[in-house]
Amino acid sequence: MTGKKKWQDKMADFWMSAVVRRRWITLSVLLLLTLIAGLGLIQVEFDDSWENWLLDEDPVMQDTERFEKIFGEEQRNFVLVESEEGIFNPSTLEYLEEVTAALEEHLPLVAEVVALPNMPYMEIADDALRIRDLIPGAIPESAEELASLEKRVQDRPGIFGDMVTEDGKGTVIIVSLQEEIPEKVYLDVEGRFNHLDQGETMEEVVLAGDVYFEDRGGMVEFGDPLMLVPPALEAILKEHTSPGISPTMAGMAIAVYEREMVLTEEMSTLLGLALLASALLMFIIFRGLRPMLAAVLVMLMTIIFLFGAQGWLGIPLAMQSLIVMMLAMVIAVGYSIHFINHFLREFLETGNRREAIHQALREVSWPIMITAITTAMGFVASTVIPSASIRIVVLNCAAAAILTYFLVMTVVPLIFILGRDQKKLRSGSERNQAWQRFMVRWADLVVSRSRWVIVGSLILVLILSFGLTRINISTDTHAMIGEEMDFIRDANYVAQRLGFLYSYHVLVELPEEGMAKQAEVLQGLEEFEEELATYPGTTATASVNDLFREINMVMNENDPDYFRVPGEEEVIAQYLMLYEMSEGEGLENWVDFGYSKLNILVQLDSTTDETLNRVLEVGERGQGFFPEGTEVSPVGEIAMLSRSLSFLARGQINSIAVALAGITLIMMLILRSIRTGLISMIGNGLPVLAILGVMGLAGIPLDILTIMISPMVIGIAVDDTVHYFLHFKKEFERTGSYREANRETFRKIGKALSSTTAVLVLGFLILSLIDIQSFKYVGQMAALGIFAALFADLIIAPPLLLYFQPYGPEREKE
Amino acid sequence: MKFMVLVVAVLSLLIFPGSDLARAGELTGSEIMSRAEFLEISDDMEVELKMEIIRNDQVRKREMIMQRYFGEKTEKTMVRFTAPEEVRGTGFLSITHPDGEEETWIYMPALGVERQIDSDERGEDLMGSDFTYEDIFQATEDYEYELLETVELNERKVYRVEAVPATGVVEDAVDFASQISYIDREKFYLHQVRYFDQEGEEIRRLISADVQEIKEGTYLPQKMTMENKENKGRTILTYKRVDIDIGLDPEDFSREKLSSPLD
Repeated sequence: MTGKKKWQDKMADFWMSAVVRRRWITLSVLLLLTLIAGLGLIQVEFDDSWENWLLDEDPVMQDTERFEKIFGEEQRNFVLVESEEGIFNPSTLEYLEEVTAALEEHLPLVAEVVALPNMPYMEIADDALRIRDLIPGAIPESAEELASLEKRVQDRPGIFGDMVTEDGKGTVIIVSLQEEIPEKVYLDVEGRFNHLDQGETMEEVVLAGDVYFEDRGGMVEFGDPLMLVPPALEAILKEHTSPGISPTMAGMAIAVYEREMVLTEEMSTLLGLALLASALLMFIIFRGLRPMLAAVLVMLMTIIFLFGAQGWLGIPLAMQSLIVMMLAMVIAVGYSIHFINHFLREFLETGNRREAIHQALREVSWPIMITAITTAMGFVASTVIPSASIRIVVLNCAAAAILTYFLVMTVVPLIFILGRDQKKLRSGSERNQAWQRFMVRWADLVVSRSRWVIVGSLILVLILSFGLTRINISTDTHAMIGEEMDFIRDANYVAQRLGFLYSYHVLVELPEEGMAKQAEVLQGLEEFEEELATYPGTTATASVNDLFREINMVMNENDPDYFRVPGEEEVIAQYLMLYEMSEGEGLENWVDFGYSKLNILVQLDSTTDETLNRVLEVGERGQGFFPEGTEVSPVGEIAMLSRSLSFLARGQINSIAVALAGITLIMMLILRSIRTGLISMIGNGLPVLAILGVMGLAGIPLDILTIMISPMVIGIAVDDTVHYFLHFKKEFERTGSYREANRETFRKIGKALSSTTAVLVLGFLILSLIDIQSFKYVGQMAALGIFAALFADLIIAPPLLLYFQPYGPEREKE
Repeated sequence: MKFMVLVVAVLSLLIFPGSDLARAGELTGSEIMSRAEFLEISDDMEVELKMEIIRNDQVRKREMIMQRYFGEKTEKTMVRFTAPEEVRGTGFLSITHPDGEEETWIYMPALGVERQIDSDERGEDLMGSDFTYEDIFQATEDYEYELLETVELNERKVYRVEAVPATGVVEDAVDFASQISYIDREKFYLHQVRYFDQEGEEIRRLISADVQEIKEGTYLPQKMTMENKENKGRTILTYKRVDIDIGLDPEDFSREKLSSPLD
């Protein structure tokens, strides 16, 4: 103990000399660092694409990379066009033609725009094989022509089934973007260009003509070219209106853009809320300006430093970065309270600022450091989750804890050192004594009703354990953000009307070149597609077989009986040759140059977890349909989502286990008792059980955001547990009685524990006011977890300590 | 039918074999380029050709016999594949009528019927090869030529001639901003063509090899390689036989001939 005290004093002396004696140097260094970080903050970018979810070495990432090398990276977005009069009327068809042409001309990074009028159509007409646009010339006007057009479309369900809604009132414009989007482009726009600030008219947005791949002098460099597409798409659609026709956009580029909009908006809301909450909480507790200023400054600087560092390091912010902000606020307030509490107590008693600061540093520099380290550990434990973006966020959170410690030890004393000393003010207060009496009664109550407490706790644990078994794992991003957002409503609507929106690819790698031309391989492909079509959420599949079916039927006098994959290899080879030689269009999308790799497109109408779970099985199931040695892998963003589903559960268990084990070890070291260390696990374990149990009971899914609640709460809640158990031990050594030790512990620190818990709970609840669904859950569940930790420490732990007597038998009263 | 464009394009490469018959004095860029166009005045030709399209060490090989007949107002082209075995006998026939209408027929031995094909010509790459329509099948009047200098290449004196699109329409239609041809100063055959984009980056390079005198004073590279700098692929055309003015019968460019067995 004396060793530690010395260490504590040394530490306090260090901070004292840094902050008080060399305050101008410290202040200058802090200002300089803030300035540098601020410059980094300007450069920080947003990137909320799924590619950052997985690690580069993840098999799905590698399969996807291989797939994209062969078949290119697909960037499809959709415009659902609905017409009250139905599609097959001149005005709708003209609208489609006009918008298609406008998109091809003005949309940045566009590769191809396909709608009904320019869909390639193969047929035998006037005895000739024709491959041309569905509407090769002028838009048909007469009822007869329109009816014939409709029939041509209906005759090809395989080709046009996806293009027209069942009621015939909706169709789609498929907007494919360039396969290789450059890392940056140069824009012919005003200097301070912000892509999120673009307007809704053609004049206000960046169009294809403004985008250059090389700087031609005086241009603005722009690092996220895909973000230019959605506003331009919207403006082009607004430019072309037609009565009775309504377009709705959806697709990955739009989702990423909109998520970024939401993120930017919610980030400022959250920052506002956090500032407000910390100021409010500090005011309620201390009724002074300085404490408010202290907490607000520490929080702001923590965020500037961390996000600034991300800016300098080129690590983009994502949805999960909101967690860092939330944590920064909660711990800035929490740590500041500790320091200010001790400072004020001393200052009110002595009136000497300098001495009060020194005393406060002596009291808090060591415990807050331990708290910061345990909090950081809770987060570091989550790096066992194999996700790049989770790792970035948890390391950021760990850094936030450590950084907040340093800032509380420097910024807060700097704020309180300024000003004159005062006369001695008061010692103790009546209110305080009333609190102490209440805590003692509470202490006695939980001990005297220990049986009830233990039975009640057991029932609670049982209920929560039941909830735990019902927890859902989800990567449904729509549910995560919340269904009430406009773009998610649009996406769901488009998916429901068209029967597709999302898709993944299956890469089939045959063991030998040329095998993809074999009849039995194509037969296997057909059977595999039939199975894929039965998977939940799957609306259609497409592959090279669609080309064969179409050409086979057309070459055989349009006979529907021939709408099948030919069984003779010579026919297959000659059809392939026709494709190679003629349009070639399409073939290279479905089979590679060496005829050993096939691409299957699987279209989905939802990304629910049931759907995603099956995607994981596709690889293994697929192998049975192809020759031995064939590799079958699902690829693309949907496959990445599925993949992350598989590690969320395991990642959560592992991260909790690592966090609990690490923290229990620290508790054992601090308390120097294995048994007490194990009992303290209850204080740390109950919050986790409460969080996951309630999540299970309330149907809150475990997702990429909510997975971080438990490790975060473990790291924060351990603070109270450390305080309770350390004090209990000290009091037992002093009194020799467990009951007395408990009573004294409650009397001395009961109020502090309850009020910090109240502050944290309130802080988390305020932050749960923001508009992202999963983030609300993070705030609510974290509040619940923190409350559960207090419950465990002040209700469950006392009877257990009395029962197990971990510090040996009680001493006889002298 | 895009394929027929390729056929014409491949045959048009033969525009570049040079003739040393009519060289005199200093020539302008366009004079040099038009010097070699003797094929326009020939009546017919038959070419046996091997095409290899190469991507990442994977090779697609095709062998074919191409015949072309230049009538007064009609042009007829027939292509028949000889290898690989699975496509042997597959053929195409294209006839351009005096009114400019073009009809194209395809024959697939596996189906045993010939079919007329009618399609929009879209897209740029030919038969998945590295040649593009614009690379080869370009009309001299669409470009402005400038003789830059005479340099040494392959140990021979060559003209270095730059061509740029003459009109905005051509500029929009082609994917290169300029091309530089290296034409043999003495024998007027093509050594190399380099294609450049707007930024002056080379995007493709055509290299000729194995030059032979096919008739007196007329030289033809037997091998043409188009290197694609963008996709790192290349296409090699090897002329196994080139016969010019052999008196092909225009009546032989028929559906019956198209579907008749290969020798």
